[in-house]
Amino acid sequence: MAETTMTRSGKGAIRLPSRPGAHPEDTLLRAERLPHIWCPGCGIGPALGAYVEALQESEVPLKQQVIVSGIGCTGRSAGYVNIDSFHTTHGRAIPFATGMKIANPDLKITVFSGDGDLFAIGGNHFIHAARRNIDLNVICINNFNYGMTGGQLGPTTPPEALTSTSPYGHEEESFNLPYLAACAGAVFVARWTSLHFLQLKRAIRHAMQKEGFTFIEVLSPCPPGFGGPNSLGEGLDQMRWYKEKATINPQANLETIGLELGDAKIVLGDFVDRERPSYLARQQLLAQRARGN
Amino acid sequence: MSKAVLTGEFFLSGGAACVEGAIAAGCRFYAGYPITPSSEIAERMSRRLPQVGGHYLQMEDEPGSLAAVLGASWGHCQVMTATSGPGFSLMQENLGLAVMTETPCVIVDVQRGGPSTGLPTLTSQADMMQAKWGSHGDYELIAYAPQSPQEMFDLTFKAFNMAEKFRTPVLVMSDKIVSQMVERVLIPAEKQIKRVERRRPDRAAQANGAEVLVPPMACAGEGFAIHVTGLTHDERGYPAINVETQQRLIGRLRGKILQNGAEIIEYEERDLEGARIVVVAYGSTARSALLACRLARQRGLEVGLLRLITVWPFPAERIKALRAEALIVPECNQGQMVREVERFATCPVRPVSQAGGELLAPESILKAIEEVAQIG
Amino acid sequence: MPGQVYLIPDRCKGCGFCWTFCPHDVLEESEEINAKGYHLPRVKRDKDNYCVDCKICAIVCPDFAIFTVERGLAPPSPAVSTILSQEVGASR
Repeated sequence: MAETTMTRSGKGAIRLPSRPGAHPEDTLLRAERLPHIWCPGCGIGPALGAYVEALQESEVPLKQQVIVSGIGCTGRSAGYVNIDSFHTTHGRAIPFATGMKIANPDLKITVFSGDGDLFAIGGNHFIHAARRNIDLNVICINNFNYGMTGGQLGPTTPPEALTSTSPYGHEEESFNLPYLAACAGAVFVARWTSLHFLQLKRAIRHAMQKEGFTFIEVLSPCPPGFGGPNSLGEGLDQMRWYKEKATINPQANLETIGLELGDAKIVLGDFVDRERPSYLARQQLLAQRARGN
Repeated sequence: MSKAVLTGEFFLSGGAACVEGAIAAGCRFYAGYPITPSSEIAERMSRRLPQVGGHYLQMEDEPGSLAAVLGASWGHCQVMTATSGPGFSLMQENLGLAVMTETPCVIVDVQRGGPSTGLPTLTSQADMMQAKWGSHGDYELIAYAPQSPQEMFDLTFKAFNMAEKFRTPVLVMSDKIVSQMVERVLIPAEKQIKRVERRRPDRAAQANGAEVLVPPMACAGEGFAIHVTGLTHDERGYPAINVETQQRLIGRLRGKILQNGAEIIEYEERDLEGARIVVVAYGSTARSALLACRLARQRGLEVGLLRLITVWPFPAERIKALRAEALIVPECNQGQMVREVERFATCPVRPVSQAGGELLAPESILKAIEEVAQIG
Repeated sequence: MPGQVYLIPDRCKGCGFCWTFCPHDVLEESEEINAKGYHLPRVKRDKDNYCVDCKICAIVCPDFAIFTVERGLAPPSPAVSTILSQEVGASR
């Protein structure tokens, strides 16, 4: 029961103890494990919240919904969602999910993982899964660094940014993820941020009801790993950076929407939405040929 | 659709027999990456699985192959991959995930000369220790050493049953010779086949808090909202990064294999009664050892043969109980399983080693037997 | 519709998203800290009736620590109910 007779902060907020069921989202969270491990101001939480709301609104029964994650801060997400959840090895969430989808095509599988997990060690699997158009929804929380291990640089770190392993900046181009996903064959490609909750939730819902390989990049604050070294110290600073620099342009030329620090615009939107027969749909043809012979 | 169990008498390669054993056992998903000398297994799987309503997936690399295999297992399917040394090395991380998450699966290693690219088309038995110790951390698993195409069928079939029963990865440690030789293989009738399936969740047992070594397995899509992680985890499956949980978990994971040795461990004995010298061999080398022992007996030497069918878990008690004056361990490697024999033997042990590349000839084993007999 | 703010203090990490992004400036950082040492939000003095239940604090909160309910309605029950448990009677 809400403790209305207990202390009220200011005059207005009613306080609840942190028991499972206290928050409206708790039914879909492993709420007994909250508070979660992520830092104050980390953007993974809001993104996970958008996913959880999309789960509730989706027409797919919860029993068939699966979350698969890799290693890293975002990888811990699987441990907080109260559906079949798999926390796998670094970079291998996508192939794991691929095998699972083939074994049980009724499952709706979301791969929820980070930029390093999906695009460094997991990069090869990403492009092949997109090429195959296996029916998976990939959500990449891009916080521009390897957070869990202490803020090292990753394939999405902008060159001018400082990280724990790029104390002088670095001289490599960073991946433009929507461009990469579109080129590899994804049928739905979007980029939002932890701030753009409603658009993100809508994009996730759309991805869930779409057949084929979908990709959503979510820009997220990471105060210790990325914000601190780059004068965007608190999560709030990074959220404000998104608010100031974000421009929504679904028609953008993907080649031009790579991310940089500084004054450049952050281009957001649902960029690609196309139809291609999915891997399993095409496999039916193969199976027919095999049995015909 | 084609039949899953190709009952009959065939002239088959070891690789082909392995595929038939897998499919007869219920394998309906294979994800793999071609590598000599295992590619024939992938090729036959790509032909046979679609015929029996299964699925062949050619992955972009070996880590991805084993990851896909594990995912499919959690999608409630019986699963397999095959590889050779370099691919086996790449699979080690996910092999650890399979152990830690107790995921039933079968992995075939068709050994070839190593290290590194080594001798892609020539045999060896040089991955035997890697089979036990290849992934990081402490763990146990089951590994078979077939010596013939017939055993490739039989032991691959058994590997699936063991994987399901004990919720563990099971290795089939083949080699180039066994996989590519062609011999008579008898495939039994469907009604003679006994398949084991993973234990389903049992509400009564859960309610009683029954402690089991091998937990029942709820798979994805069955409504149990399971959490599966490679992190050290508690009985709910949730990460628990502490010493007590580690002790309990590792104790149970190792215990479920080690405490079931009576059911898991298999070996074949020939002429051990009264033998003064025992040859301990496995896989293709055991074929040479068999002839060497026969020749030695013809020359009046009291020699017996202990052939390991499971190499892991290692039959420590059997070795300890051998009442011989000397043991000889021939292997197509620089001495791997001989180390385990030495640990438990109560008499001197003599390895017969090789750098890899060809079947150890019976003559070299016979020579070792005669030398040991003279010294004795 | 007017809204009622609910706070779960043990989950809050004092990140400031809720009081920064509330469109009606209903919330502010308080001096009060929870057991982990994070500063909690509070409804500003005299701003009780400014909450319109837009739920932006809830959706922007990374920690599932704050939410609003239309004033007069009950908050969610603390008892856990899972859709899955209805289907299979699974215990948790």
